[in-house]
Amino acid sequence: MSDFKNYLEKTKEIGHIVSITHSIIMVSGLPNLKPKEMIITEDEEKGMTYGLNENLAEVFMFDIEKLKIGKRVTRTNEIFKIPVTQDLLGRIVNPLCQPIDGLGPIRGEKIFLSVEKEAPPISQRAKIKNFLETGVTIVDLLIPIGYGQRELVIGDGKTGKATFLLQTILSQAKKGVICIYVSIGKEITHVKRVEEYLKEAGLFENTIILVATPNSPATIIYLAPYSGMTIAEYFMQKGKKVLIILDDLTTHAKIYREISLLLKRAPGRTVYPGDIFHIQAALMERAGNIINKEGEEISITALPVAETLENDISGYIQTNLMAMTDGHIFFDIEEFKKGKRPAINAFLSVSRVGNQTKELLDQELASLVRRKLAEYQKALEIARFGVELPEKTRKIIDFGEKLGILFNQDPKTVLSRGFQLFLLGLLLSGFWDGRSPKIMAVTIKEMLEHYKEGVFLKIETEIEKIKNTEDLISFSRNQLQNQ
Amino acid sequence: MKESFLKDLLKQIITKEDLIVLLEEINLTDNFIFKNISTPLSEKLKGKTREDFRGLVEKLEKENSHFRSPSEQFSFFQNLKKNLKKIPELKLELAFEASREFLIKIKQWFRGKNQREVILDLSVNPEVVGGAIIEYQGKYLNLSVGKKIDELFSNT
Amino acid sequence: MFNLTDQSFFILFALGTTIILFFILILVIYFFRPTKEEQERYIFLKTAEKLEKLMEQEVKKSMVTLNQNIQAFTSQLTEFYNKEISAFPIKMEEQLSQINKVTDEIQDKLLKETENKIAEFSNTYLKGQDLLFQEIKTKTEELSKNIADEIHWLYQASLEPLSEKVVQVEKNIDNYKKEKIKEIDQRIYEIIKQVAKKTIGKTIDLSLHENLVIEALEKSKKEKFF
Repeated sequence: MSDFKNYLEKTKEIGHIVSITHSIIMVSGLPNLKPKEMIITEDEEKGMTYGLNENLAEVFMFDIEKLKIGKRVTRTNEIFKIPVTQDLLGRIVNPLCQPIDGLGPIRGEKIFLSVEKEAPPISQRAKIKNFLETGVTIVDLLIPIGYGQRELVIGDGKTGKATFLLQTILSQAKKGVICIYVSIGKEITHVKRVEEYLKEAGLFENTIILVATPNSPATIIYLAPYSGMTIAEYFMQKGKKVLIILDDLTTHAKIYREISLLLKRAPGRTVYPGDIFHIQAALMERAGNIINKEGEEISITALPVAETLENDISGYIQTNLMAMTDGHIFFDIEEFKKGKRPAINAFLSVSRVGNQTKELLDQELASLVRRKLAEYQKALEIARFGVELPEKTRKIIDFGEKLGILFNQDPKTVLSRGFQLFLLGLLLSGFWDGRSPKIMAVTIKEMLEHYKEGVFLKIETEIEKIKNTEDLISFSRNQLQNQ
Repeated sequence: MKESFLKDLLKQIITKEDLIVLLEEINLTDNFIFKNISTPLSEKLKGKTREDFRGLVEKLEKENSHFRSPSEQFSFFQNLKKNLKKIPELKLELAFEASREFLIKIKQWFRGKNQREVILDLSVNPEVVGGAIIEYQGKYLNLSVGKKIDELFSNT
Repeated sequence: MFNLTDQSFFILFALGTTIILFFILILVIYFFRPTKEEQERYIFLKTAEKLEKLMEQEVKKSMVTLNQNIQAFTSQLTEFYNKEISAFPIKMEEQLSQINKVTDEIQDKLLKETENKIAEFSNTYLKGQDLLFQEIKTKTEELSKNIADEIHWLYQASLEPLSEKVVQVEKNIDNYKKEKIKEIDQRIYEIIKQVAKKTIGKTIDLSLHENLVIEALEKSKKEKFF
């Protein structure tokens, strides 16, 4: 007997489709229907109840090809769930966990989990204490992220946000962290680039790509981040550290706005519905550093992405997302135009809980670097007047330029903490004093070649033992002399 | 008086098709209300609607003097449409083509047992074999002989 | 008194004029004298002209001597070159004959050596060949024995899992048969069910249908459906 007939006999309730608007249907009947409950049509199409009016129910349908008015539907008496399994790793799926990579069905023991789960309460939360290495020097030094943190990645389109996120995945997948990349309304070509990047690095087996393309129904795009978070919770409960990237939540907000307007909800500020903050905050709150029943600390680190226009971070959705996360990394289009890669503006970025995960040495270095960068900015303003600069100012500008070169990283390079500290130590010890920034760039390029071959492994291990800046500088100097 | 009109009218409506026809007649009547105000409505409806309906309108006009004003007529028919649409539907899947008399019997049974009016929506499904599959206000109940036969064979 | 005669007056006049002219001349000379620079330039030009003349004379002299030297040198060089050219073929012949002598000697020595080596090598080769043949013989005998043993063992070993496989396959066939029978049974049941439905449907008359419908409605009322 088909699922529809089974459920019909079980629940003894029936409804009919009264109207269809894109992927949203209005259903009559079904007197005991509950919100978020799954319904099924006589052609086995599944949907999720969203709202209940006096006589009709609003249902999000995820399969819209054969819908027609008058079709019979029945309740299932179950919350809408998606099947999750270990075998999702290394696969590309849609928000219903159906494979779309052409590699056949997903086997393995599946368990069904609800897409909208309540976030863990405060009593289950633990302090964020472990540092998450992104492999990007400027972030690891000045805007550190911890496991369990929610850090917003915000900036204009095509400023290198996706590149930074891929570098983070590269860094983390090597350490066995499960990485989930949720593509919300991005083109297939973008997803293909992500897939190729990860396959080239040989780390695709530790990642899951969840895709909702722009031509999918709005309800599928709406569901994508929730499905991603459900999969993240599944792996987290198995004791794994999880990193989830939601690219991007501004598109998700726009889709939700579209759905709300179709449902004739009253529009709020900039035509977004009144509960837009709630639906995204409820999602973000599911990430964090949690203590499970066995007393172990498990975590989901979330990196949601928000797109801006012309560097405007004061938009409604952008400020909402900044409020519901533990900091943001700002990709500045002006920095991008100057040729900085990654184009991160460290002064406008913040990490509210990242600093507590860092060692004393890193905190000292961060404050030193910030001071130097501030001095550099001031010196640049003076230099703009074209006056002859004193020696001290010239040194500050030189140091600032060299720091900028240190922070420049190409898309496929990720650096360990040890190597980042080594390079910084070299700069602070005066290795590049008296040499032009171009020579420094060439030297660093050569060192990176050797780094990829593993030549610096010993230095990296030894640097882990260093506790303060003076020791770091003297260590770097000694290494030079030994070379 | 209007209640008796409604009562008589409801006697005429058994099935969903009857209701659709009636609503169309009422819509047609609306078009004639404000034309030729001096002529009684029942006169204007001659040859345009069924004689039963026209007769009821005539009766209403005779028994109720207020009903002769067009505004009164218009609001009456608007209310009537609203109320008619509120009558719940009882959907029955049967194994045979039921006669009108039988349908009237079902309606009377329903009125007697539940003190409510109902509109019948019927369909024929041979899989039913005997008995009926009933749908009422979103609820579903399969009391057909066909289901019993299925259960019998699935248990073996 | 003092009487001037015409002659003395003329003499005085001439003297005076001469003095005045002389004075004017001195003035002219003084004012139109060449400046220091002009004097120096004049001196310089004069000395330059003289120097030029001197240099011309010297150059001519040295050119003559140079030509004489070059001629002498070229004649010496050609003499030397001719001598060497005439001596060269004789020297070459001597060198060639020496080289030929040496190569002949080397050739003879090499031939002798190679003949010796060939003789040695063929001896050892023959010895080696014999040894090899013996080895091959023994090894093949061993190998054929081993293969025979292996085959025997394999045969014995394969019999066991083979029999297990056979049992497994028989089981699978049984299961398949059962499943197929079950399927067929189900199909039969389905057919019987359909036939039963049709038959029952045909046997039920109109009044029975109506009664069944009313019964169904009564039952639903009891179940508080309405």
